[in-house]
Amino acid sequence: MDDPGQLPNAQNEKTEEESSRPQYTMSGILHYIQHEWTRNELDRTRWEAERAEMQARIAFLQGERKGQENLKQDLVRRIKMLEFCLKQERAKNYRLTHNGDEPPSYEESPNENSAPNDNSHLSADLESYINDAGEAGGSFRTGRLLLKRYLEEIGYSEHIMDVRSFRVKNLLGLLPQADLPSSERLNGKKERSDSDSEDGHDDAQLDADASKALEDFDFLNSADARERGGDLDDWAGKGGSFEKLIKQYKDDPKVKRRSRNSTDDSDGNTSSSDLHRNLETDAVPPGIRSAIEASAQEELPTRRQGRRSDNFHYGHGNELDVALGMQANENIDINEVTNDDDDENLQKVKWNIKVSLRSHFDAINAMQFHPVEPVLFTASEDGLVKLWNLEQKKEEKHNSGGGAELEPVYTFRGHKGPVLCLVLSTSGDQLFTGGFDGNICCFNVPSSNSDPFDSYNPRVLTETLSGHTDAVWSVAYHSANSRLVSASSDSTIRLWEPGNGEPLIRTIGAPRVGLVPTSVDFVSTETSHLLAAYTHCYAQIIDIDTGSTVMVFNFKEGITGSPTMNKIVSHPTMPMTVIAGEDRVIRYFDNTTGACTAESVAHVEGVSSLAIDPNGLYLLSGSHDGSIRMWNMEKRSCLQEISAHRKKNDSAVTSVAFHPSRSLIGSAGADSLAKVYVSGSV
Amino acid sequence: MTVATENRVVRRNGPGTKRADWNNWPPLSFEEMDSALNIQQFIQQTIKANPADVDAILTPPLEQDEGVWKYEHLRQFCIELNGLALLLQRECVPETCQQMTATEQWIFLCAGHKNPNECPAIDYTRHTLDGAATMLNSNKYFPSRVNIKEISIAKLGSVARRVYRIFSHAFFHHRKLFDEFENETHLCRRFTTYVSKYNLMQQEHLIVPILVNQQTQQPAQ
Repeated sequence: MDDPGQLPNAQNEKTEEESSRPQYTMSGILHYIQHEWTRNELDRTRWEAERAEMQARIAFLQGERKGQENLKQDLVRRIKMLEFCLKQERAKNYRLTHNGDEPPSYEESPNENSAPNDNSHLSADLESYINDAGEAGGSFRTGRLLLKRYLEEIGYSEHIMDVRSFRVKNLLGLLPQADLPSSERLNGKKERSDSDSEDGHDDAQLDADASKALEDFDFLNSADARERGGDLDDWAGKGGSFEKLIKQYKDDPKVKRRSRNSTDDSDGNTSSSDLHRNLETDAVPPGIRSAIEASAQEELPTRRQGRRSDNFHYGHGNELDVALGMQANENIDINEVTNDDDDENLQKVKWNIKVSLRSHFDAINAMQFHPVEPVLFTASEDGLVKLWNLEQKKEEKHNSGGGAELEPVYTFRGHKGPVLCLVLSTSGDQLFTGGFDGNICCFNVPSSNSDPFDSYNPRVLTETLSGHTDAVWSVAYHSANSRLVSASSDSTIRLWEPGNGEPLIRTIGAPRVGLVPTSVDFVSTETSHLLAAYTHCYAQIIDIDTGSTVMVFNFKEGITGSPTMNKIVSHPTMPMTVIAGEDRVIRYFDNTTGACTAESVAHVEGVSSLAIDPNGLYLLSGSHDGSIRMWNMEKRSCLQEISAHRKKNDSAVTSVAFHPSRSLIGSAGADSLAKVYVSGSV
Repeated sequence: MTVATENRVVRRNGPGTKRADWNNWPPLSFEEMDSALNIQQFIQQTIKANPADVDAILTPPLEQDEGVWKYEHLRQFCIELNGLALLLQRECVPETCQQMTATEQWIFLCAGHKNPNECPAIDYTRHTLDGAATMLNSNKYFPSRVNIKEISIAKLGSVARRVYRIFSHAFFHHRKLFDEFENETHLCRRFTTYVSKYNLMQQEHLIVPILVNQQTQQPAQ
């Protein structure tokens, strides 16, 4: 009896089993696994996104940290400078108050004992400055912390920049006294109420400013010190370095002589650097000068004096210029370099150096970015063209001693002697270079990830176009029909069709005897028109289908010495042409009328190169003064200046470039270096 | 300032400069070269004056730091050796020169690779010159061109030894081409004098008999 009862039960169980079994069918399992897998995958992508985000954040923070460190170093340097200035002024004061006696610590034969004395004197002074700054004795420290927090809240780094330059300018008397806040003037008088002579009053003013400036740096130092654990230590450390500086200062008779008498040129000065020259032309107090020189020596103890300080100028020139208020002075004859305050919000983008490319042996003459990839091509007077992959994976693949540095991926050899110009095809897979040897080489561009020590493939050099009888200075690529235009110092412009049996299509002679084409570019709005710049202040538009002149650009009257036009570029979207001249001027022309719509002195020396960003908003210029400048095309105002390259002979920056699709710019110079910059907000 | 600029001799090869006018400015005494790259300028100026006058080219200015002097000369050799490499690219193919050899005595292994590789001669030449460019521009060994660390000076010797093999290969295997190049540049003669003067290579490795007083060593078979 149980059986029938059990049977259904068993059946029930069976059905139950059956009903539960589908959960474990093959398809179910697969489905489950699939589901789990997708979920996993989703999670993974999310994690990866998160990771990338974190990495970006890390990179950003690291960049920020580096910036802060630089700022800190800069400030420390400035403190040293001011310290010396102070010292100098004090000595002067001493002389004035002691009837022209030399101050004891500056005697010709300083005995060993004077140094510690001097030091204690100094530290006492520092003490007093700190107290002055606080003006409230004990509550000084808390007040300072509070102030620091406030400043942090309002983004103090920017603030400091302003304050700093203002102070330094004040200190050098480059701003009218009226600009000083009245409280400061009061301070100045209060501090030195005992001095009655005219000179003495000036001293007091300067000292007050110096102390104020020191005060500004003071809390920054304290911020550092807090990180390290105590600001007394920090000051002691600083004191030590001051002492060192002072000692060095005293030990060096040359510096002393120069600081006493600025007209007395010591022999070290005969090969004076730009810095010195600048210093001489600007009425800088001798104290500052000696301070700079001394700090230069302190920083570069192994470098020799005189010529070597050139390097110092190169490295820190920009900062020094700012510090000495030089910029305002130098730019007097550079038009339209306005620090447009209205623009400030719009132009927050600043370019910072990303990488310095070292591999060429001699001056680099041309550079261009790949249209899409983060890849750069450089052509140099060492006869080589190099391909750089800016996002190259840093592998210790070769034992060539390069370490983690960026090395060129490929080196093109095709020219005998210097390579002077290069251009890429629209797709970026063909490269055309023109050289001193009068040839144009056509290369197939190898993969930007190839091994630099791969075996030689003779097919990379596809063709050599020969015909020019002198150096080829400029090449331009015509995207529509793959033709090439070259300008040579044999006074001709030639049109080529690479790959054709008879590659030379047309030769266009110079419009006048003696004119040499220097630079060519295609008009963006009219593809059969070619822009050509020449020596002797001449430029024109040529129809390449007929070889005839379409328009001669009308240079304004009164240009002296018929300067060479070094570079001609077409605006990417408008019928407009920009020409850079050896006479330091950048000129803007209207293609339809040929009229010069604007011109401005853009650099201190000849402008060697130009580049326009793909949207036609910004213009980048490079000059033999060693700097590159970013310009707002519309307002023609300078947005940023970067000291980029050192001089070899009288040439410095030779080429600048915009990446056509990425936020990268580059500069190349006679110092064999190429530099790539990325944009970042201040 | 403008007037001063106009009257000054501008020492640069601007666009449009003819070949005949290249670097064609009045020579400047070393003391007047106030740029940081004065040694390179000085060396190139002396070479331009007369490439055959090896002794003058190798005579440093007074009180010149020897390390920098040697370094800049080696850079200049590498620049000019690119000209020889270009010539070799034309006729030195892996089919004829499967290995980097000069005499039968040695096969040179290419140091550009992680594991030294038996590259064909043309690859050896290219890799060695590219490797020299990397080495001499390395931030680690040569961060500055005005001040060279004592420890990096030793690297000059190894670079010199490697690039010398390009001369020796060309001399023993592409004699016509070598002569053509040497007649124009006198580079091998200058290089041999240079490494002997500064003791960068051992005399027995200088197998190209280019100097008059150089012992014409019979390479051991």
